[in-house]
Amino acid sequence: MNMRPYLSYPEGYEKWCHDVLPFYFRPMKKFLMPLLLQIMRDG
Amino acid sequence: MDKAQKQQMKDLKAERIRLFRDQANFKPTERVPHFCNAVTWKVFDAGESLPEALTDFKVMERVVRHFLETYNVDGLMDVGIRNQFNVTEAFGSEGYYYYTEEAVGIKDHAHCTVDTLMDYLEDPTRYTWEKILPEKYGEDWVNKDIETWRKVFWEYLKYTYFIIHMGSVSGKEFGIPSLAPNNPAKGAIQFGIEEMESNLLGIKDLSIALRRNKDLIRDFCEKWDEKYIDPLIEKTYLSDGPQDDKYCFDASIILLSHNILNPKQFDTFLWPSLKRLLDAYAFKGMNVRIFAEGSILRYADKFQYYPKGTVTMHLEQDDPFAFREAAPNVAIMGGLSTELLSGGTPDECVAHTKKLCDELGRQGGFILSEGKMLSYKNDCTSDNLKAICDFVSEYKL
Repeated sequence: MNMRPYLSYPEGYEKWCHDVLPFYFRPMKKFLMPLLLQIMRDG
Repeated sequence: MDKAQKQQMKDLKAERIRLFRDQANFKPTERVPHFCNAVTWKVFDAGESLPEALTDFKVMERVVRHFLETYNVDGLMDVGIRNQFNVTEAFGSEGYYYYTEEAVGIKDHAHCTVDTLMDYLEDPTRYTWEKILPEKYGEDWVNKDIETWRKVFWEYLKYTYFIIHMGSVSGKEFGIPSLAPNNPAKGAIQFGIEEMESNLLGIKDLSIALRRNKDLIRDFCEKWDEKYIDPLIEKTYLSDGPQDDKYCFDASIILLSHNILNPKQFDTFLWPSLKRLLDAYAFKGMNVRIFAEGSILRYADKFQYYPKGTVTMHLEQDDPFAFREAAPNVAIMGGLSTELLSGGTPDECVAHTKKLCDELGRQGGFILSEGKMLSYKNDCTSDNLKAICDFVSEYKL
């Protein structure tokens, strides 16, 4: 599956976070995902 | 390591923090401490390949261990965690940063135009998701599957672990203290004008906007402060003050934009934010290290009004003796140029280091460091760095 289901914001982004994060990391979404996005954005 | 060795490293780390803190506070110390600004040069010096070190944590750990076993430094700016490429490589598309056998480079980029700056600030995550990432990666962005992202996430977790691990290796096995508490996960200190120069507009578009869109740039800086700097200032005023036992400094700030700002622009776009933050640190008796890329000598007088012990200026290219004269209240970090480290002899390096220690460090207010980050193979010779480390670790003031 490509990124098409995830392109919208915030719905697509939230679904992307949910699908990428393993179950036990989901409670840390607000801590983990902004830095990952920053790496992908600036790196 | 046995228990006695662990305690020895713990004591050494505490002693080094005390040396850095005392020098930053203009208190005379037995010797001048050396906070080494070695980055990718460490890789070449260890005889490793740069592409391998930047993509394989085991290689990078070997590099850092080799460095700390060879050079008796008191602090190390990068313990191998800068510019690791495993996360972006797992994604499989070209980013802004790249590496060759010789160096790490970054391509010119700008996330915004003057027309979209405020959209970014209103909701950076939305803007990143809807604009920056699709434009940066083009068709690749749409075609990535969720499995690729899961691999990216795992590499990200491994990177996070590596950061923690290297902090532990350097601290517990070599007695190397951490520079300052701010880190990307907690929100590193970044001013609006700096973010516009580094990422949002780039040097060229920011330089044009500073003339054509002055009100917009000022508005952006003010709103940026409300969002990112004001909470930090409030947190500083509410804090318990210096964290003497944990870090060499209470905060670390990197400045670059002063190089393209004229005095009027500096007073309008950077100084108001920086001053309010420094006022808070001064009020709490906290030490801030500012890494001034390029030259900040022409703005030295701005920092002179803070009491000794507030600001330590890490000078990339300025002459430390000229800076001391211009701002006697500001502690200096630096003094070692790549010209000397690469082209001088060990004797010349030691003579220069002795002069720095005698003239700038005897009454406190000086920390020896390399001005520029040691990045390229020819930025320094091993013999020169060894001579400096051996001298400064033994030389009594």
